[in-house]
Amino acid sequence: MNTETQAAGYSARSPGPFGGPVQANYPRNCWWAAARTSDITDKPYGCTMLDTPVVLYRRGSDNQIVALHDRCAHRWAPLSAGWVEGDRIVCGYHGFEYETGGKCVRIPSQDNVPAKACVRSYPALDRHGMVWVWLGDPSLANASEPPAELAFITDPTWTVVTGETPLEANYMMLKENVLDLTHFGFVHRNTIKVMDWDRPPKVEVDETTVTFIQEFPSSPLVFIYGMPTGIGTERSVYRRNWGRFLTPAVNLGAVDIRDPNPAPGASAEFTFRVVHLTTPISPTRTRYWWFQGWDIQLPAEYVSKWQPGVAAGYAEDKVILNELQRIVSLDASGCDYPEILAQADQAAIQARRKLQALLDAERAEPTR
Amino acid sequence: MNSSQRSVRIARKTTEAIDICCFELVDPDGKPLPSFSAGSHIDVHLPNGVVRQYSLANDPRDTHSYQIAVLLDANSRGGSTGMHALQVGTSIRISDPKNHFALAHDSRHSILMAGGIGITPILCMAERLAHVGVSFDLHYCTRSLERTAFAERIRRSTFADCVHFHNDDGPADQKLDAGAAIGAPRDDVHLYVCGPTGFMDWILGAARALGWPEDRLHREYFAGVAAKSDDNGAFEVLLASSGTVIRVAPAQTVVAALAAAGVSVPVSCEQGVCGTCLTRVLEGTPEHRDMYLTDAEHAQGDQFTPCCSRSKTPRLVLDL
Repeated sequence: MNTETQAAGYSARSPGPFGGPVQANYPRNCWWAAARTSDITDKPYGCTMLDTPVVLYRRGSDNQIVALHDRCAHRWAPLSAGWVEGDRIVCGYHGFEYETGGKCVRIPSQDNVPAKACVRSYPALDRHGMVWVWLGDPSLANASEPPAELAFITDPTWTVVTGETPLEANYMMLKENVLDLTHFGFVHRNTIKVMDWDRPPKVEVDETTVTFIQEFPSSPLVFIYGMPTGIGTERSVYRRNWGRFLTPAVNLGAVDIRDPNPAPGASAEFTFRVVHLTTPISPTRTRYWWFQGWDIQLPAEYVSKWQPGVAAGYAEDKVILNELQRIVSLDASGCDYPEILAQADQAAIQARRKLQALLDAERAEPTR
Repeated sequence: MNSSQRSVRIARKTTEAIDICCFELVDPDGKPLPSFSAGSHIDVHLPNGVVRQYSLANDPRDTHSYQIAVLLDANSRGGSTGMHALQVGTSIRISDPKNHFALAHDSRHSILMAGGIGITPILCMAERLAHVGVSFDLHYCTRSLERTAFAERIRRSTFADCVHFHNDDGPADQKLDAGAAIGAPRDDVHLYVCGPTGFMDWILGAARALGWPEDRLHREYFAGVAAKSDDNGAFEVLLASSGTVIRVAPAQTVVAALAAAGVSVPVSCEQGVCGTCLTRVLEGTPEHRDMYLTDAEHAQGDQFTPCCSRSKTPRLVLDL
């Protein structure tokens, strides 16, 4: 009777990771990152996204990317364990061959191919250095694109570092983490060393996105901002740190720096951008690719130290998020007391509302 | 964001006692309904636009129907008269079950006190306690035998021996001696009371006089008596389910005023960020101070966050 009477007191209003038993809180009608563009070749690439095994490869005739359900219609062997021949993918178990639309066109041991022998094919796009896959209603895929805000990733005038930090946690935990930077002074006190994120930011909401904005009074920069800009860590400059929930798959981060007294010939404004791409493998496992970029050219020597430094920062998030998921998963009932929220959670709460609206819309019209 | 609504069909309507109708609600396709815990209630959206909350009276193990009992109120503002006018076969909209009157999970013994139609959640609790084998005493006070709903069901139940009937018009020796029935507070013993405000005040007052701590007293207001507004610049909230009017002092939040009156609303952030306490507003104009709702939702004015928001009108009617 314990869980029953206790659980009744609170209803999970939001699709946040703390709303009760862990469940799939990801809409399928969304462009989700599946791999880096460079990962996809004429060798099959298998991955799991949104609880779905997906195989990606480039077809021989025109190098286009093909995305199929990674599950041979015959014995459900992963097609990614097979190989590509021309445009076709061949199952490594009994040699069933599939064309790019997912239809089985050859069974080596017999002449006829059953009409129902096919696997699902998914719309796929190559954008901003990533391959994106649409697992939902295919008729809705053309209506959207991965966010244009990611264009800096492949812009040669920028300097960008990137990495991947797999998480044993629900993807919304990462998104909520990057929507509330008051964790900087605690989780990253020894790395990022931004200690002035000590109050909740302003939050703005539009039809589909949630943005937080924090204006910092003129003050010296920490090393990670002062070094690449050449401003250093002594002089006081203006800094605006903001971030945005763009889609369930993409969060953006930004630091805009304005130097009121630039040295002669030096730039007065610098733009720093961060992208967080989260793709759920399952409710408690997430693929997480991150990008950081400056709108300036930076020497290779700096970049070689910058990338591992950024990776170390995200590793700190990974430690705390994996631990969060471990504790949340331990609580089978999940709702015997409410998650206590702070003012700094406002952006995360609004992001949950956006996510909930997408989930509700999908439930209203279920996709296959 | 509110609990989802569903359509149900009235499968049975029976007269349980004078002025009390019992309704059995089922899924139109015969599917199971969401499970509920003892003490739960549902919002019923009547065809006349009125929304009322009714406690579920059936055994929580029953997955295919919800049973509610409705007392015809002489001062009905559309709820009980609307319900009594409904016929078998009619479809109505209801919310999923919610529980603000849950059984404590660590109790060794329970004292259940029902006044009149307040028997509905109490009966559900009795079914649950009997099923899990936790002992209890149920005291059921009514004006007369003819006004005692579910008397036959109780007499035929496995827990009939635990139930004590008290009728106002009966012999003196069967009337409820609240002090004796409640007794001294004991560890792991909880008291639950539901009924008219006067009845609950009496029972809770008796328990407090015996030294019972608040955390072992549980109540569900269900039919209240309107209090007078003293119009001192504060405002008041009226609970649609019960008609109870609660005054909110200038220095008090609505949540605090509700809590002081024994009405619990789930809260988390207490500053209008999280939306946990979001409550529907049926009448009046809220003064929004939250950061949860959008501007459009603020303008709509049909919900507010009682943890921090207030009222522009002297009274708000809340869907509680």
